[in-house]
Amino acid sequence: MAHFIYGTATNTGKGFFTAEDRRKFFLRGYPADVWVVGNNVDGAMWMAEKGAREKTKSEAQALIDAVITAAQTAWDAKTDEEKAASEGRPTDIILP
Amino acid sequence: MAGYNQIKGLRVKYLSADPSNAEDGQVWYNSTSGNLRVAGIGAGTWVSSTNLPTGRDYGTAGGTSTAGFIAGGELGPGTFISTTFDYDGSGWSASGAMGDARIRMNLGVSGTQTAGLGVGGYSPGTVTSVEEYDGSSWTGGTALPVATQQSGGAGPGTSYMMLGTNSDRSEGLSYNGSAWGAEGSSSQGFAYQGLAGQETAALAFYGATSPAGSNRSTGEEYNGTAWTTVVPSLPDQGNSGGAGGTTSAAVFAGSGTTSRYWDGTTVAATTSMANPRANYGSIGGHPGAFVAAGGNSNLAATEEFNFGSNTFTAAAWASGGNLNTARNNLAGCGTQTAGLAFGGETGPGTIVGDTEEYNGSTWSEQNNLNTTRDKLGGCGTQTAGLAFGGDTPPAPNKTTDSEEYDGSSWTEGNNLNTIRDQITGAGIQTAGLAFGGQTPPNAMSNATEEYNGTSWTSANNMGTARRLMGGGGIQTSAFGSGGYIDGTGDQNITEEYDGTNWTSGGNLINTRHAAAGAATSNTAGLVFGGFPTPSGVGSKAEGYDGTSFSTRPSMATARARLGGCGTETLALAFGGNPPITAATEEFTGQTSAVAPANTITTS
Repeated sequence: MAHFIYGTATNTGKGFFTAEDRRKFFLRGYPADVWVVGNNVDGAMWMAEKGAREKTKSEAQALIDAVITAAQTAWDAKTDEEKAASEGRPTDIILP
Repeated sequence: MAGYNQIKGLRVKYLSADPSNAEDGQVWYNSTSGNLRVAGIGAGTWVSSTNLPTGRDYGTAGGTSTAGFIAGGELGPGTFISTTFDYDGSGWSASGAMGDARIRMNLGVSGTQTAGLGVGGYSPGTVTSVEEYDGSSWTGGTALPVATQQSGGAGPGTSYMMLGTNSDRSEGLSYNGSAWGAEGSSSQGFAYQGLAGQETAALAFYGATSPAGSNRSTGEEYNGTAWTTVVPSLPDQGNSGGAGGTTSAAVFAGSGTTSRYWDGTTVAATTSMANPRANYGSIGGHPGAFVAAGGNSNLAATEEFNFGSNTFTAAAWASGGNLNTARNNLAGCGTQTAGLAFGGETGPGTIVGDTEEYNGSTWSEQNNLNTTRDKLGGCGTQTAGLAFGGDTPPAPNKTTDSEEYDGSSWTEGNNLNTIRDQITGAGIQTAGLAFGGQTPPNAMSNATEEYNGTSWTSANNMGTARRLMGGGGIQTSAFGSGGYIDGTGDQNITEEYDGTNWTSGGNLINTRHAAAGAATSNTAGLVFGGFPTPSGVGSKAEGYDGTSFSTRPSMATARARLGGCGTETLALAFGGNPPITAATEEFTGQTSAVAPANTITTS
């Protein structure tokens, strides 16, 4: 059984996830509106309540990779001076 | 016998109603109900915490209630796992896997998060294997002299005590970090028993013969040489499945929801767990909290037993209203329910002067900064804010510009003396503080300036010049932590300002830069988010008490170059990158309350 459930949902702001949600189950947000929750009843219920579109891990990873690749491309297009003033090229994000 | 007034220095009050502000242990007579009443007093209470990402049976665990781990176990019948998750007091994060997937390793608290143990077990077949955990990966340790499974164990990795096995061994074994040694024998051999303490001072309570048969009837204490019976007849006999604490305060829970508390003299039933469990991961113990994670039937639930009569609600981040303009490199000030966000960058090279006010639920657009900028400093309140320094378009174009906000619009103030961006701020509009940053073109700054509501005055420099620190506080009690030094990289150092001088403080646990801070002083702060992304610090939060940092729950969305405001217990995080986000999260620190009053009866 997988450790996590992957899905996409739009963060609607206040109340999207509550402190109680955070105490009850694992929850992390990623670029491209990807959300990862623990593979348990509470996590699955939250995904359902938010109308999340469930993804496989590889599908979710591909969505994130697309965003990061775009950010890396934008960084590569910066001038040397701009690069020197930034903290570095965006790095890959690997889902748990 | 000493009376109440001699013990507490108080007389028993005669009251018509229970007092609303009674202290733990306070006694009074309620004339309305005719009862003698007492506030609080209890062994402890169980509170739910964040579930394991996936439930597991037979996981082994160790560490403290704010820095623990669980490893191995079983996802379902016959599905053994090697995965490890670390616990930070509020949530779980994946860590390195064990070398072997196995179940039924030692019950009880097995070492610490940075010196943990996985002892014996079944993989399949009872094994002698031992693995040691350093907080990120497992390596082979010295094998047991005898194969064991379902043994009880307790203690740090250098003073570890274990007893029992499925063959009902009564001989004790200890581990000193490199070798196993023989210890004294208990009067009875059991499996599933709860061990608490360590090699030189341990308890063996509860348990049952394996396969389950008779229950352990006595509680025994070990002094490093011999076991002594301290409880001739244990109440609520049955499996423990886990235990934690010391010889003066320990909890033995399991065999259903049953929980028993040992106070050094007697053992008695205490509040029950919410979930029936056995074969679970034991973390922590007295002082602090004992954590039970997972358990039979692939339980994912985590519960904390907080020693004492207070009830606790764990700290957590929750989502707040999204910014109207997603951005990074912004500044913020104010409180969690009256916050202010200003300036920033909405995309590569697109710098804005947008200002938004937060009311605890939603952000609303306000008048822009007069000087559009990002990488600026900020301090003050929602109705009396201060913006200073930063980078104006076309970047890089650092500025000394300073502006004041009155709750409606920004007006020009007198400029900073030192031109810079990536600056950190603290204080209020009439007593502000600016420190650190980067001066043109790329030099680190240790400059400190104080604002009196009219002009900026140079103050004593910081010890270490750097940019993008997290911190905050007030003009006479501030701190700056972490940051970045070109050519050196990320920092973990902290400096504290007392209104005159900077002195060194405690290091961050996680080295980082471009974090945000929320603080009321240099002894009460919160640092959250930041780079570098690969290390995963972007979601992590740490609390500062003026001496050292300790972990706090992580944000849901990792980010750096974010805005922050509020206090160490009621903070606000907004915006940031990568990628640039409008997301807001609200932090509420752990709260505690004295348990409800009880009626004193005779029996």
